[in-house]
Amino acid sequence: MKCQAVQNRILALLDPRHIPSAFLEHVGDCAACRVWVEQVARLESLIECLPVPPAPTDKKASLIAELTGASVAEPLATPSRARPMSSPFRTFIRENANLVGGLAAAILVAFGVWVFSSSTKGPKADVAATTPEDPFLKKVAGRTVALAKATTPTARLQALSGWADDLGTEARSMARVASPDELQEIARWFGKVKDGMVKQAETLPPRALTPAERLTQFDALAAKMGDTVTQTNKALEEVSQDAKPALERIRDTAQDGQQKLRDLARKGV
Amino acid sequence: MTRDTEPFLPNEPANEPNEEADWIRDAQAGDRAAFARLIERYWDLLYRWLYRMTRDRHAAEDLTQETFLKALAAVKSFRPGSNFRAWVFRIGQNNFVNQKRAERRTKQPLPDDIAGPDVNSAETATENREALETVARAIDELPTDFRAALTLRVEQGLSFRDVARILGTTEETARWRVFKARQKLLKVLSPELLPPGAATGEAKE
Amino acid sequence: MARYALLLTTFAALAAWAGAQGPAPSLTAADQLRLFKSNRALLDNLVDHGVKMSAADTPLARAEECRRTALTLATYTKRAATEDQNPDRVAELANLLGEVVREGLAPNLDEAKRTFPPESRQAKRVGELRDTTKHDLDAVRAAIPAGKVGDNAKVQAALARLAELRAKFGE
Repeated sequence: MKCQAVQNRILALLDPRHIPSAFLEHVGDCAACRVWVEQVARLESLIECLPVPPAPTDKKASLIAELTGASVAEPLATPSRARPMSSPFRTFIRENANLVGGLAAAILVAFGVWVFSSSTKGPKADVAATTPEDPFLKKVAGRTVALAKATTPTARLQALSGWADDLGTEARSMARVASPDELQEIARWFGKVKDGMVKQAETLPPRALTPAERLTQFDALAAKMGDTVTQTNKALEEVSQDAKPALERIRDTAQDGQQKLRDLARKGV
Repeated sequence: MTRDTEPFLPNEPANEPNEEADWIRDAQAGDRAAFARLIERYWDLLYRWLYRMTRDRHAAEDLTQETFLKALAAVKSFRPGSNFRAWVFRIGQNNFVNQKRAERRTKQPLPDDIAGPDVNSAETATENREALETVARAIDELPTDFRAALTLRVEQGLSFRDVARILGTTEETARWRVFKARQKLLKVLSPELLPPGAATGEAKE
Repeated sequence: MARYALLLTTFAALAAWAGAQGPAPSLTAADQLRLFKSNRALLDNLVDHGVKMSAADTPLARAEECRRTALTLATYTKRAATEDQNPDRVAELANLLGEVVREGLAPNLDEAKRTFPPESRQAKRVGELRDTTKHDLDAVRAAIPAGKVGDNAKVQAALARLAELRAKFGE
């Protein structure tokens, strides 16, 4: 049996790692097919093991909790997104199940039509107009490049510090327009960068800086974090309630970073 | 093409058809806690697949929730004795297709929590992590239909029949899509998949 | 009168100079939000790459992370070309890709090559990274369809810069 034909048959199997005897004979005799079969087997095994990042929120637990919290079996209205229901709302649904079900269906249909018609307009409009460059994207890519060029821990710390600044600024700038989820994403990035800074500072080799240099440089970095705290506190006085949790998270993260950097500045002094 | 037997489904718990059938029956009678057990069993599997399809964990989580809400609303229409998992995944597939049609894609992420290879650690762990990352990216590049079929077959461990059911196609088409997906991946990835010291497996005629 | 004419001339010259600098880029809040939504997932990836980069303390480790960053940008560039068919975005992302390869990946590869003996496993890995980078750059070029995207001047300029960069990686 020719190689190509055998290989095609193997690729069409339920599991190409379990080769029927009809093909095993050829594979046994053909060095090229033996190597090929090893590749196929490795690919199949790798696909089975592909990692998946965790879900960003815990909608599974929320939905299960919602379902197991109710003690009476009842039809559940299906909004397009599940939200924790307050008791009065739950009572309303229980007493008006058919009405709510029909209304929910009508809303879903209308929503679907609206989304569809918006999106059919959207792409054409976007393509017709020029898309401006994204200065924030440019900054973030630039920071990545700066880190690629940073060959010393001090240089890396400086790059990370600048990055944290960028993220704090972006969050404050977006606080009036972005959704809470989008702001939380920026807050999460800020947290990652701050953790990266603290890790760099913690793992700085003892001989990289003299105690005096360490004190000066780390205090300077802590001061920049302090600026972020101050600026964020100011912004908190002006933004809506929805925007506050993310900004508070950034402020608290910056405060934590500031304290850790100060402590590390004084370590061994 | 050779017909092979139904696979062992590695991601499912040991075969307990009666337990699941009881949950489904109770859910159809209005018992929401019973449906919650079905969610517990299948959420992570569905999320995994929808992540492969959307390449976005936010979208995948939203779609997973949407799917189970729709499944809950439609649970009375599920035919007892048929494959519940395939039925839920079919709803998920429809949601994914509808979302893709209706919304302009603004998220085109790549796997964001896969750790890159640590060049300072053991070689084998490094190679595996690198290989996984490379395979994941290559799968992302596959056409949607091929990616859907391949991941349902290999990652989810479903039969060609169930893959066909979920994708709304024939078993033959499902098998062909998996074949084409594997073929494409091998073409792109063969240098990375070679065992050390081996020559490229060129077919001889 | 002469002094007035001198003042006018000076102001005119200053205005011309300021105009030549180009207007400071300013986005409306709506644009800023729209761009954030479009780029959110890419930004998420870049943040992860950058943080991992900060933990990479050898040239080879930095080169590895640069290559992953470049691959991320290459993938988004290709999607912008084939799925979004947005030439502005294609050009923007292709330029960022070029910056990562030119400023980050190439210098770290050169440094790593100098560090290890030619027959070592690490030197072999440097060679592999070069090859895969060439492949990635070729794949971006190949993915750009002719027409609205491929014929766009900004896209052509960006691709020309990538081609120059590609040439430095050799055949």
